Amino acid sequence: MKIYVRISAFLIFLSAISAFANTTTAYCLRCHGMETLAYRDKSTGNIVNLYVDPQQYRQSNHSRLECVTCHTADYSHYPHPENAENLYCLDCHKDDPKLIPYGFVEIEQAFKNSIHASIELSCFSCHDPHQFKLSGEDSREIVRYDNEICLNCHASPLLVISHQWLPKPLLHWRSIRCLECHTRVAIHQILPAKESVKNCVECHSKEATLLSRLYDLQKSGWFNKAVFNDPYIIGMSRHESIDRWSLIILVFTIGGLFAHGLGRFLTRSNKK
Amino acid sequence: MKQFYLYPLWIRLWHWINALLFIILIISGTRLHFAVGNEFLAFESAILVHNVAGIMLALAWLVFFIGNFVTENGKHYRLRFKGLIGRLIRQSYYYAIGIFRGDPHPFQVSAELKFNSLQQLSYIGVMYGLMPILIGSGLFFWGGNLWLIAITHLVVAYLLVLFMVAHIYIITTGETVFSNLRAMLTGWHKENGYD
Repeated sequence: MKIYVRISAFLIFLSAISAFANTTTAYCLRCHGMETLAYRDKSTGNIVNLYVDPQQYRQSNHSRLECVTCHTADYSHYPHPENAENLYCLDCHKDDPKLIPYGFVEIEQAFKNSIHASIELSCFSCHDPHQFKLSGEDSREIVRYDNEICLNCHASPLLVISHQWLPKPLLHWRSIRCLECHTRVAIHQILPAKESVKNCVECHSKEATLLSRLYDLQKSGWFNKAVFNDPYIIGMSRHESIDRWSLIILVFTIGGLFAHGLGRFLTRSNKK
Repeated sequence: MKQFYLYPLWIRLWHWINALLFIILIISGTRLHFAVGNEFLAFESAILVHNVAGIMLALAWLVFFIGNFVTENGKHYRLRFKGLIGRLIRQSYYYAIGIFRGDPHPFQVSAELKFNSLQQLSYIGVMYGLMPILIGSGLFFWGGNLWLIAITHLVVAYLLVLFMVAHIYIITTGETVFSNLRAMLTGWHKENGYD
C-alpha cells in the first residue's frame, strides 16, 4: 500500500514540475527559438514567423517576463488553442505607476490619429515586444534604431526620389529621425506624406522642434556631451558662451576704435 | 611727393573680391548661425549663397597663395626677425600715443616693403593661419555636421570679423584718412611729406 502512495506522490510531484516547466520562457523557446518555425496563414497566404531570437529576447526590456505573462497560460500546452488570449501593450502599461512617465495612454491616442492606424497597423507592427529595448541617451544611436524601424517597411528606391528636395538627404537621415518631419504633434501620430514638415526653419532655428524632441542641448560647459556626440544643427546648435564673449569682444573693439578715432580727430592740430 | 606702385591690378582685384565675399559670407553666415531674418533671406537661399561665396573665397585664397609664389608680392610676407620686437613696440607705441601727438609714422613705406611689422604679422596670421582654417573647416562643414568643425569655423569667423573691423579702421591712419584706401583703388601709394 505504502508503495502506491509513494508512486502517486512522485507522479503528482512530476506533473507539478512539468506544469511549472511548461510556463517558463526556456520551455517555450525549445520550439520558438528555432529560426525556421513558421507557418503559412491559409486565409492570407502569408508566412507567419513564430521565431523569437533568444539572444535578443534576453537583452530586451521584457526579458524578465515569462512568455505566458503576455501570451497567457492558454499557451502553456501544445497544440495551443486557436482562441488563446494575448495581452496588448496597454493591458500592462496603462495603470502601472512606474510606466506612467512613458505616456502609453497618450501614445495610444496619438497612434489612433496616425496614418498607420488607418491601414490597420498595431504597436507590434513597428515594435517587436520580444526585442523591444529603450534607447540610450546617445542621439545617434536613437536615430539609427528608430529609423531602422521605419525602413523595415519603407526602404525602397522611391524613398530617394521622394526626398530629393531635401539638401544632403544622407546627412539628414544619419542625424535625425524620420519622425522629426513625419510627425508634428506627437511622435506616434505619423502624418500622411503631404502633411509632413517641408520647412527648413522648423528645425534650423532657435526654437527648433528638435530641441524638445531629440536633443537635449541645455547642458552647458566646454566639454559637455552635446559638443562631442551630437550633430551640429545649423541655426539650432549654439555654444552660448562663445557667442556671448565673441560679441562682447567685437563691441569693445568697435568702441575702442571709435574712441581712438575720436582722439585722433580731437588732436588733429598736433599733426606736423 | 613720392609715390610707389604698390598694388598691382591682380592684388587690387583679389582684395576687393575678397572684401565683397567677406561681406556676403558675414551676412549669410550670421543669418544661418543666429537663425534670424528668414524673411530677408530664406534658409535655403542663405545656404546656397554661403556655399557659393565660400568656394569663391577658397579659390581667391588659392590665387593669392600661388600669386605670392609666382610674383614679387610674396616678399612683403617674409618676416624679418632681426629687430622685430623693437619695430613692433615702436609701431604699437605710435598707435597708442604717438599718433595723438602728431609724431611721424615710425615706418616708411617702400617698394621693397609695404607693410609695417604689426601689419605684416597680422596679415601673415590671417592669410596663412586663419584663412586656411576657415576654408578647411568650411569644406568639412559642407560634408558633415560635427560640433568640433562647426565651432572651429565659427571661432575663426569671429576672429576674421575682428580683423576686418580693425583693418578698416587702421587704413584710415595713413597720411590722410583716405590715402590708403585710394592706394588700394589706384595701386599708387602717394606721400606728400616725403622728400
